[in-house]
Amino acid sequence: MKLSPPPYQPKNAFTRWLDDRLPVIRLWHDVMGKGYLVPRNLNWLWNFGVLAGIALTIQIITGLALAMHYVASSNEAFNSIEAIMRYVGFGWLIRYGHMVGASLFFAALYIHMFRGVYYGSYKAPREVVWLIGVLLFMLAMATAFLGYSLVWGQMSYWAAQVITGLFSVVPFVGEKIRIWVLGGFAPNAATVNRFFVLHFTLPFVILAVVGLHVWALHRQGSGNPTGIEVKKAEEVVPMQPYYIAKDLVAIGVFLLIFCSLVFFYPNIFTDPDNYIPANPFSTPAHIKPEWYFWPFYAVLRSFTVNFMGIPAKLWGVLGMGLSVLVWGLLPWLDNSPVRSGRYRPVFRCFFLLFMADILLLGFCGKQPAEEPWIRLGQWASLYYFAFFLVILPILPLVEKTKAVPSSVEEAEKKRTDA
Amino acid sequence: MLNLVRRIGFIRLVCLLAGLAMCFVLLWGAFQPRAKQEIDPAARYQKPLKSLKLPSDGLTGHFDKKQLRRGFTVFQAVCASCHGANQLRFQDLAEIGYSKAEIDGIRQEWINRIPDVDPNTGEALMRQPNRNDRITGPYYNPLGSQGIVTAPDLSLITKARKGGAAYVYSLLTGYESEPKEIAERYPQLKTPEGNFYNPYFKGLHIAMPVALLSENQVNYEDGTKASTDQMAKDVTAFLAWSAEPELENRHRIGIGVIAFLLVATGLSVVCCYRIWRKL
Repeated sequence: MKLSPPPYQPKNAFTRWLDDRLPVIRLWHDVMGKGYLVPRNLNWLWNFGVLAGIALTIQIITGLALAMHYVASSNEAFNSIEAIMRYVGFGWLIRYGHMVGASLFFAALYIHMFRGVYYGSYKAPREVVWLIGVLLFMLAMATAFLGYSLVWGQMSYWAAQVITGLFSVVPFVGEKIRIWVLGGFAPNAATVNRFFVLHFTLPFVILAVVGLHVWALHRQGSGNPTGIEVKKAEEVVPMQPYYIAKDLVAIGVFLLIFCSLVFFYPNIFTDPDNYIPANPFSTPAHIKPEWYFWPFYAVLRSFTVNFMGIPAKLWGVLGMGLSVLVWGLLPWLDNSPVRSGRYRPVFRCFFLLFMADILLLGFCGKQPAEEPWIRLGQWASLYYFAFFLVILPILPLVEKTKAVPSSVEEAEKKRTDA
Repeated sequence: MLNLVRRIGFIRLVCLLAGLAMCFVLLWGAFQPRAKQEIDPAARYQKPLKSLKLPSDGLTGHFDKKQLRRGFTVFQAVCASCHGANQLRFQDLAEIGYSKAEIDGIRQEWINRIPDVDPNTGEALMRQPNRNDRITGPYYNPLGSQGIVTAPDLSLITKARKGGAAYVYSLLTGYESEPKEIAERYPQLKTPEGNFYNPYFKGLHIAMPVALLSENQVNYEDGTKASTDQMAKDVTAFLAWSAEPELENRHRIGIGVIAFLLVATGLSVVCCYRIWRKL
């Protein structure tokens, strides 16, 4: 049953006139205003979608300002960024804001995604919301990589080298593809230029896809921590003012963290090597990506042996690709009728282990490619794949779930009683 | 069996098999014997960085302009014979208290000439740097020193090395004679000809000779005694400034911004609480 929200009613002559011609206020009312009914029992984990949106906004605004001064050329890129930091008014704020913003964007995304896994947000009828979300995650990864390369420091250059090198595993035509992507045999002037064009364009694609994400979400309405669909008017509140007010608190805390980092620890996430200008003749001792790619980097490096005629490098690329794509399979991997992790005690254990496993993978990805980190990474990757592809499909067959209350109201009453 | 397939569903079965295959490959890899890892013996002699306190440390720290000037004096007299600070322009020295006349004096005597064209004859010439020219070193090559190992540019060095300012300070003051034990136990670690032993440098051997040799190597205009330690501290402070000239400003604005956000967030908490209380 869908609850019917109060329809938008223009209050004066102007809004009536506008509503007939361009119903933007109606759109706001339906999406963010009194016309969007939200379960009243959402916890703070439900704020991270909005926070990711805020981070995206920060990235686009600071990015536009940076693009006005950045010089996309292999000789000038590094120096032009330093010039922005030194000679553009508040250039250091724009640049550090963009740097820290990228990290916080991913932090918000990851929390948003883990929330989705734990509370079964990907399940029917919200599979498309989830799929678009995974697409957004992949777009964000591509954009982040391209942007990181634009700095044209040592790590930028060698990251571009390593990541484009992944194309070369394609049988027969791999090397040709790699050269085509780079515009040369190694990252060069043409590479900076095309990476800049793509890095500038993709955020607007992301913005459009965010629109689809929100659209799909509003078709079915927000889920909630109980995983039970709302049925009664007492179980929901209008977005405005309740969740607008709550989001404002979350945004305040988010900005506090953001500004503390930008103003006091702007380089906390960055490798010092990236303050050395790119040098094609000097390979850094340990090439590693930014923190948000460490888990996937660890998966890539975990495939160390040729197997079944497929070289280790190709296994690594397949494994890393699958480790991202597998998120998109979630709605079909897990067919437990119980949605929320609250009522799935066994799932909850495996999920907590999975969170720990991701942290371990990230830690391994950060380390140089040496023992014992490679072997540890292999075990961590093993659990990563086992969780998605083995445990989740089998679990519904064997798991004894807790009794799911009949309504959100009852579920929350039980929780407050306990 | 068929019943199990039906219960688990076709898609899940395919995924399950793919997952098991992935796990098997990883397992196979995990149990492969490993090549015996060589432990780099140089790491045993690497020393942890010395601690360095600069006036600009901390959230309320300030650059000590007198110290920065002393630091530039050292940079000019010692470092600049090999290194540049090419993210700085000569005019930037005004920020650490140099007057226009002083800056002109510095640039006219600078070690590097700038390739240019004579506006009257059209002939190539080497001219003195202008105020808005980069402070380059003698090996500066605007296209990058590709493939040739030269003295690194120092303008970003405290951001470009792990340990930052403490690393620069440790390195400058860290030259030692090579421990006898090395020659006995690890002949391959012997300092090569033309290199110098420095336990703060990765790999122990650095091509840079001892730079700060003796007391009063430079004359400080403010009368400070130029001990080697003092010179090292001063030039490190200067390099920390050259890497982050915005630091003071950034911290000052940051404190204001955080204070504002604390109030704003506090208000939003009150607002949120009052709105939800009515439910």
